[in-house]
Amino acid sequence: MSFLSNIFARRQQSSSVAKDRLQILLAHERSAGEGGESDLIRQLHKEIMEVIARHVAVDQDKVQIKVDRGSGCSMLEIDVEVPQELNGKRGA
Amino acid sequence: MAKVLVVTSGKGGVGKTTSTAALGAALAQSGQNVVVVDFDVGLRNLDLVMGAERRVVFDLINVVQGDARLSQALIRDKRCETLSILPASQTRDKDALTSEGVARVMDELREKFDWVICDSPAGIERGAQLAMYHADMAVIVTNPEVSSVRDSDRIIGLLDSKTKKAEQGEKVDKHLLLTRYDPARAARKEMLSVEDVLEILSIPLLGIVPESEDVLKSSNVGAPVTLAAPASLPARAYFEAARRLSGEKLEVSVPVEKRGFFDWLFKRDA
Repeated sequence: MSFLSNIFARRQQSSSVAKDRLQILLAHERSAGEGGESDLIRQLHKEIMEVIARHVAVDQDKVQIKVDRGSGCSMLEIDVEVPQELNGKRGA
Repeated sequence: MAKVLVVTSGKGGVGKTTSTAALGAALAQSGQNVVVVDFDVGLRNLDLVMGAERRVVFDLINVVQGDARLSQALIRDKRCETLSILPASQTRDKDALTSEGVARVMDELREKFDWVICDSPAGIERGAQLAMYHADMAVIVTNPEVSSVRDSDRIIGLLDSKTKKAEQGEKVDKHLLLTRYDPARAARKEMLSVEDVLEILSIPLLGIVPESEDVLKSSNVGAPVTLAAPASLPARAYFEAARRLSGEKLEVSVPVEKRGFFDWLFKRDA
């Protein structure tokens, strides 16, 4: 890397981009887990999408499903991001 | 007590076979009896990297299926008498390996050797799972690159769930071997650093093998780098990794070439 590009291009270093991307991806993949649990999540995701799609159009990736297994209790987290126009329609 | 070690990675081309050969030869040179076993059925290469490709008569599948005795299939290295190789088959398909047959061969190998080092095929399918099933220890070969790190994470998950140890409620002893590392690029933040990879995968570090010409030169001539160029940086990294596998507590350092006058002279000779 040249002296000039060091001064002027204060872009984010590619290795830290790589690290951030990996950490986000792996957190997701690890929570999905191996075998049974990831099948369960895939099935849940599919069926929840079907129900929502009957009423509103929602993107695949706007529905997030997560299972957190704790020692005391486990939590199933379903996060659905509803599109803007729906709020307006229902309000009127 | 014999140790079964699997060298695995998920991703292909990161240096499993090179590392199997180098670690095997390093452990064997310390006087321990070592066998390296090629589990990559259909795409065997360990024999070629070890320079034994023309000496293969029987292979792992012949032994697993009972067509040959183990002693007929084992090839003793010509340079190091405590090192042997059990080649894979080039022609058969991987379904020819049965779980029971592999278990029987592994038991027999455990009796004959101090170290049984299994070179896993790439991927996470049956072949890779058979290679890791009997392992007491695992070396996860990883390049400082996103796809390799991701695949290593998957393999760590499999080692914790799909091995005999895991089924018995025990843990496979896992070690990270970072290969093709370029300290200069990592310093310029163009490459994931050792710390980055360790933070993401969180398993103990076995060694850092720098990107080096000596690795290709050694495989060109059919010798583990720890036999062909024992003074080279990658070989030194493998020798240290082998000592750590044997239980020695050694600090891991990033290997860099010293640029002294004597090193210059030495390099000329090498």
